[in-house]
Amino acid sequence: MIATDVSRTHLPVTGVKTCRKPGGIELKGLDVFYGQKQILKGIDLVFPPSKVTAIIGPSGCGKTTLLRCINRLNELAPGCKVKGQILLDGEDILKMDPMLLRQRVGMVFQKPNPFPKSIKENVLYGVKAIKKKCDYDATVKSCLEKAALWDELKDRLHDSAFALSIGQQQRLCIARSLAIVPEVILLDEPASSLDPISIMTLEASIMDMKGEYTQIIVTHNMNEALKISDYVAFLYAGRLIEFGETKKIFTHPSQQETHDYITGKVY
Amino acid sequence: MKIASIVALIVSFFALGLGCLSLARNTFEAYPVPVLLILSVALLVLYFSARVSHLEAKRSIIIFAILSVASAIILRMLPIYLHGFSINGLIHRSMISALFLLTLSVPAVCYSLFYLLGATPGAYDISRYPLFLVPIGLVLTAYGLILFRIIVNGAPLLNWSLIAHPFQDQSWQSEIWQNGWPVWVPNTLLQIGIRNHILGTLLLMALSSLISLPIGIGVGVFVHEYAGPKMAEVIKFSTTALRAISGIVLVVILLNLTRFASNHLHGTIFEKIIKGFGYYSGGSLVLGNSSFLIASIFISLLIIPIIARVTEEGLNSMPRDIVEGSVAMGASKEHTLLRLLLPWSFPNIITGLVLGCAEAAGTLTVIFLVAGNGQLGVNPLSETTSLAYLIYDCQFGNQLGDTVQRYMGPYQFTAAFVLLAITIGLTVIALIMKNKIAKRYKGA
Repeated sequence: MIATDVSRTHLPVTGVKTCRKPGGIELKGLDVFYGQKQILKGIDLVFPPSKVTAIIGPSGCGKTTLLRCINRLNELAPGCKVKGQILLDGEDILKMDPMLLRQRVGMVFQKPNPFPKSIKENVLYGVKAIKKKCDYDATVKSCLEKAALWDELKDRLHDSAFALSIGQQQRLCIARSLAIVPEVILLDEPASSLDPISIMTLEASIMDMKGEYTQIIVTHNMNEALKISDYVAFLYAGRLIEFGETKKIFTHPSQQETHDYITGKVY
Repeated sequence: MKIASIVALIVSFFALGLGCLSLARNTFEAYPVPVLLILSVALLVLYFSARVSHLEAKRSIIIFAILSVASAIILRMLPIYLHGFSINGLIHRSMISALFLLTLSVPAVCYSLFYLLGATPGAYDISRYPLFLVPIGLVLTAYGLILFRIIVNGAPLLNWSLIAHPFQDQSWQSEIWQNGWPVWVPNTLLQIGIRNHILGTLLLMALSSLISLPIGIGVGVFVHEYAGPKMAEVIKFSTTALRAISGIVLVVILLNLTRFASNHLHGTIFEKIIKGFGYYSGGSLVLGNSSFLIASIFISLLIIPIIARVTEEGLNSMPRDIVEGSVAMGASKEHTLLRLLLPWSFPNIITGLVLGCAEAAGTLTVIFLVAGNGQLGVNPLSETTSLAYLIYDCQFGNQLGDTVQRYMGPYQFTAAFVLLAITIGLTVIALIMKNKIAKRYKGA
């Protein structure tokens, strides 16, 4: 924990809370509906703080919906109803101001979506959006370093972010979400549109960020889940089938469905 | 085969040229009937030589050959001038012959090109080019001729003294006092110049963009961000309807305003705003000179729909996931709008603004009933004047006397030239700005 605090202090952000501890997320009886259709059914789950939790499961089982509920992005879609509780450090997020919540819970999307601005402006976008006072240049440097981009990009900070490769764009999106010092980072299949080398770099930066942030990653890739995550949650048809340490899930799953999915019998 | 297709090509090009000439000059008609007959013979020769040399012989060639014989017969039967109770006026037969020649010669050119190039699929693609090159060529020629006429007639008369001085005359309406008696002064010219017209055009453009830009952008943003689906539909429909209203309808409203001002607002600031300083009614309603301010407001009514539409399209063109990324970072709606969405749609807005300014510079419908000669200077409350009005005035005159027509008539092409220069210059500036902004914000 001491090491964690030291690494956090070099982020030159003098915001409301300088040294926040990574927050834990707790879901209590979460039901999510889109219109009449129920996507998630009674999910009870605790994401441990400062660990990487992978959510796996076949397509259409509600992984992304679960992730988008945690920073309330699901509210952008019309006809979405949420029942139950989602707690961030014991606080019910459904009663929080969504903008404040999203400052504490960052998100990286499936497709890289950098803003149509320069690289520097991209990193500083969140800081400027929430009017946080900080040393801009130092923030850019530290965020890009964490996303393993500083060495590649330090001479072209004023270029357009659209000129970067897809892998660099995705890591820029990670750097961008780090600038506002979130407690939780949600990653929605971040490696799905990347080439193998970019995936390796991305996974390395996710591993580097362990301990500083609670990370929740949705993935289709078993190897990736095995390599980077500490815990795994297996979702199937809107229900949470199994949750546990990665090693245990991948070696001795307690449920038959989990076993079938991991060994490739169910897609 | 080759000889047949070359002959057919030459004949059809001749027919094409003849058609263009008949179109260009009203009464030009040179042997259209024999030319059409020769064209049909050439097409038939083309068809049969294709069959002889075992190439793909298109049946439609025969149809075109028959059509050209039929049109030759129709032309032979027509009188030189068409008139009757369903046609208001006279149409010379050359118009019809131009129509026949153009519609038949273009496919004939295509077919002869097809066989000249060897009747392969690649030749087929190339042989379709005349179908769109000929109309484009015709339109470009028309534009070129207009430009040529404006430049040749206008540019030599352009000099600094014309631009630097306002037009001044003593019209028959004014009176001076001599020895205690009023004396009517006949038409006298004091000064030739278009300074006030140029300044008026610029002032109209500036004022109307100043009015319409915030409102147009506001409407676009409201429709995109805040209005519900039904509300958005209603607003879109009404902006389109506003765009569809002809400017002449606005003029009717404007005239009523002027009448109201002269009857009820006499001596107040509102009269000045609505009518301009120089309006002199003398009890009777004169089609009246409204001020720049009012003219700009009415021109804005034409521009606002354009700007609202392009703004909304610009906002819509931003990918949804980028907006989502901004929301996911805890940015407020306003921040997303001001820092992300509006910069993204700047290029669109600039295009809309340029279209609007061109409308303001060239519009006649709103101001041609309410404009004056600009003797009274240029300021928002003075009577309206603009280059477009000057050109109209030179061509068709006004009711109050023909000093303008008599003395400024030679300069109408110069005025058109200056108007063209302003509009084109504006477009070029806007294009440069648009590219720079697009590079900065879209990374293109």
